[in-house]
Order: sequence, then C-alpha cells, then structure tokens
Amino acid sequence: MKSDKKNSILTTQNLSIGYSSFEVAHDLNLTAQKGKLISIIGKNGSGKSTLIRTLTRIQDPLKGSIILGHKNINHYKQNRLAREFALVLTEKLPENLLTVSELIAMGRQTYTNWLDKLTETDKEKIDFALEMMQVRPLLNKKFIELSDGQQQRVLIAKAIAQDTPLIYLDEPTAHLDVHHRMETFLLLKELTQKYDKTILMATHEIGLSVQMADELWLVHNKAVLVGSPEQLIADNSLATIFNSDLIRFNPKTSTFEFR
Amino acid sequence: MLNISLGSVRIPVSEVIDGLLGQDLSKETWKHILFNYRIPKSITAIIAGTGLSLSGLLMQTLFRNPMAGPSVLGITSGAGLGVALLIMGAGVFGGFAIDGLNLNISIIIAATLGAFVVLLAILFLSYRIKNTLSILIIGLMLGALTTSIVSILAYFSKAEELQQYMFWGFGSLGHLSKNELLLLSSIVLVGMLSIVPLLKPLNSLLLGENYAQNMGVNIKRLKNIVLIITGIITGIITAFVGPIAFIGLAVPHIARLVFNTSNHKILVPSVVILGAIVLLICDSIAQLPLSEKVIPINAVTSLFGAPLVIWLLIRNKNYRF
Repeated sequence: MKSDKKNSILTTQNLSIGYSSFEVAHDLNLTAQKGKLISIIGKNGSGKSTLIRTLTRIQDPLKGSIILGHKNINHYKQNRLAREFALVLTEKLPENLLTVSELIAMGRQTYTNWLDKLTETDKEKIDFALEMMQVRPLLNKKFIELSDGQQQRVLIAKAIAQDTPLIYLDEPTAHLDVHHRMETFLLLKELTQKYDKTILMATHEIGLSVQMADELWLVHNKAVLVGSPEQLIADNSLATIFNSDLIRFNPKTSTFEFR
Repeated sequence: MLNISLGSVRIPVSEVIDGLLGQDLSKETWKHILFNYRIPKSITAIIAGTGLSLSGLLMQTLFRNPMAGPSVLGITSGAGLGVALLIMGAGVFGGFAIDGLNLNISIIIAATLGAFVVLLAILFLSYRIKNTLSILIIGLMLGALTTSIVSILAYFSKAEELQQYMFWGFGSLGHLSKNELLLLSSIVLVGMLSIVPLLKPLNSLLLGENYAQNMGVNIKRLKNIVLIITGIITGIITAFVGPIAFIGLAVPHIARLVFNTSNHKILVPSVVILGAIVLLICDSIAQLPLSEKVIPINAVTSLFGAPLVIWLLIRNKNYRF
C-alpha cells in the first residue's frame, strides 16, 4: 500500500505472527495512518486476535518488527508504551469489587504519580471519556454488577481516558445490542475524525465496517489484504473470503445472504 | 490493653495503663511481667498479624486466587524443614546436641535459612516461567516436598525431639527477647513500607495481566518484587514465632468483606489494622482468661477465624474476591 510516511503511526516490517508450533500469518507489511478507523476482519480462527495481541506486545512476533511512532515497539519501556496505545480486550475481567469510577481512573495510571493521585488534567480526560461513552450514571456501581453491554462501554471509556493516539479494540461490539453497536461505531468514527485518533479493531461487523471504516484489513490465508471497503468489495475480496455453499456477499447491500 | 492485662498472672487493666504511662505499679513483679513479657508479646502479635495478613493479600492479588496465602509458596514449610533438620536431623544423622540456651537462636537461624532456600528456589524457577499460576503450583509442590521430608525425619527421630518440633509448630508469640523483637519488627516494617509504591500496580493487576501491562505495569518486575517482599516477611515471622496458620489467608477476605472493596489503597491499611487486631484477639483467647493455662496460638487462629470468615461470607452473598 502506498503510504505517506509522515502520517503513518504504525508499520510492520516482514512481520510473522503465531505460535512456535504454527504460523498464523507471515510477511506482513502493514501501515496504519493517523486518524483512520480500521476494521480487522476475518473468519473465526483466522488470526485477528493474534494480530492484535502481537501488535500490542502481549505476544512476541515470530519474525519481523513493529514500528510504533518512529521506534521499534520492543524499545519502549512498559510505562511509555501505555501512553502510545490503549487496549480493550474480549477476555472477561477477573471478578473483583472495583467500582466503575475506580476502573476508569485506572486508564490514567500511566500519567499519575506513585501514589496514583489524579490531577486536574486527569479528571478532565476522565470526564471526557464519561461523556463520550455515556457511562456517568454508572460511576458508583460495581463493575461486576453491570450488564455485558455496560461493561463493554466502561472498558471503552477507560481506553478513551488513557488518551493515547492509538486504540486497539478486540470485538468491541460483541455484547452490545443493535442500538449500542451502531452507536459505538459512530463514537469510534467521531474519535478518529474529530480527535485524530487511530483505531484498529477486530470485528465481525462487516456491514457496519463497510459503512464506517476508512480501511479494512482482511485476514485470510496467512496474509492480510488491505484496502478501502469500496476497493475490497469491487475486487470481490470480501466475497471470496466469506462466501461458502451456504452464504454469499451482496455488494449492493453489503450484507451476506443465504444462497 | 486487654491483651496485655491477660495472662497466667492477671494484672488489672488500670495498672497496665498506669504502667504504660510510666507510673509505678502496686507490685514490682507486675512491672517486670508487663515490660519483659506482656508488652513484647503484644508487639510480636501486632507485627506477626500485620505482616502475615499483608503477605496473604499480596499473594491473593498476584495469583488472583482467593485460596492463596503466605504459606502457599512453601516458604512456611521451608522454615519448618530448617527447624526439623536442626531438632530431629541431629538425632537421625548423629552429630551435635544443642543446649537449651542456644536452642532459641538456633531455631530462628535454621528456620530463616529454610525459608530462604525455598524463596530462592521459587525466584529461580519463576525467572524461567512466564505463567504466574505455574509459580503458585510450584510453590505448593515445594511445600509438599519439604513437608514430606519433615515426616520422614519425624518417623526416624526420638520422641523428645518430635515433641520439641511439635512445640515450634504450635506457634508462640511470647518467647522473643528485646533484641530479637527489634530485629523482627524492623525487617517486617521495611517490608511493609516497600509495599506502598506497589499499591498502584497491584490495583492494575486486578484487571488481569494483559490490561495491567497496557496500564504501564512491568509484570515481571512486579512479580519478583512481590515474591521477595512476601518471602522475606513470611520467612522471618515464621522463623521467630513459628508457622502461624490461617491469619494470612483469612484477614484479606475479612477486610474485603467488611469494606466491600478490592482497591488496595483501602485494603492495605485495613489489612494492617485488622491483621493486628485479629492476632491480638487470638492471643488473648489463647491465654485462657481466668485460668493459668495457655493454649497454642495456632489452635486459636483457625478455631475462631474460620467461623468468622464463614459467617461473613453467609452475610455478604455478593462477595467477589
């Protein structure tokens, strides 16, 4: 993909991801531009999560390197890396008695002093996140008592409070109803357009991604196909990946239907 | 106060207060008992109670396991092995006999050595292992290993030696000299103070290791620091007062249940205070008020602590660890 070097926030060089026993994808040369909403799409088990786990340094790459900003991701100290990207995972949180306000405040931990005292700036960033995700009424509740959808929104609010140029989300709409699913996409879009954040999310929402995302990364056959939704529909990539004897992609409605 | 006043010789509470305020007591022997036995014993109880409870809290958070306590790493058993080798090993392998005066100090040294050998083994192994839960299992295995060595030693040793070892195993708060107490308190205090900067990363750890990393926590370093601090605190307390069971496991749960929070900024101070109070109460009960007998502290901690935790759990049905 052609890329304007100045505007790229993340690049991978000959990146191979996976586990020692098997490779999930290899020789990835990907670039994410500033201010873009990027959907990572692929079948179950295609390697979407592995890609995100590798890009966020949870898992080591098999080969190649990841450049974040202008520096190799391995050269960041953990506390500095926390200021470069925020993370929302699909995994359930371990059960605990934390309140929503304690949890969202944790998004600021990389900036706070050793006693974790919140400054005015921290409070402003938290306020912004609360408004954005509309979770202020939940502040004094225990996180564990919330519904799955509310928990998801609180975790996204925590990531927004972290105030990083890059946000990774792994299936952020998995537990949400249709209203909150569309609303989340809208909010993420707003974050990229208004606040110049870069968002990379693994998702199964193909229809919404086609409508909203600036770019799709299709994970398929140990490779990643990159392009705008229009391109990938036009050259039949989306259809090829998901079509089966059961379903086919309808480019006009950008949805799948039964054959 | 009450704890100080109770004992095989009963000193009225008012006299205890007078004594603490520096006034003369109506009996000279009371003053002697007060300053040489009762007060050091109470301080030992406070130190041991807070230290063990804090270690328990750290272990439970690090391993995200409600069953974890200071004893799970096998450090307590390590101390036990040290003492067993000293007391019973002498008989089994032949060699030197220790006279009564030096026995106390020898036991402390042996227990400390035992605890540290296990701690070093755990640190060495954890360095080679990424998975935190594996460390927990290794700790349990090391504990089982050392316990079985102790049983083998016990099988081959003389009755008196076995009895001596059993007495150490009952736990005792009351035999420390002033210097020993000073050493114990300063080590435990330093350990406790070094927990303060850990409050923030410990809170992050509540969300799991992946999220904690994304909040800027260096997991590997945190893990090592927590292992070293708890290892030292547990090892040194066990060496001085014996393996006091249950406190380290139960007090963090009591604190969470009472204050209904997982936040370490609240939990750590409350565990410190509750740990001290619980062990003081246990010690007071162990004195068997109104009688001249004293029962082992270890029997009391579980006997009264277990029903307390069960009762709290029944009352608070929404308890999340």
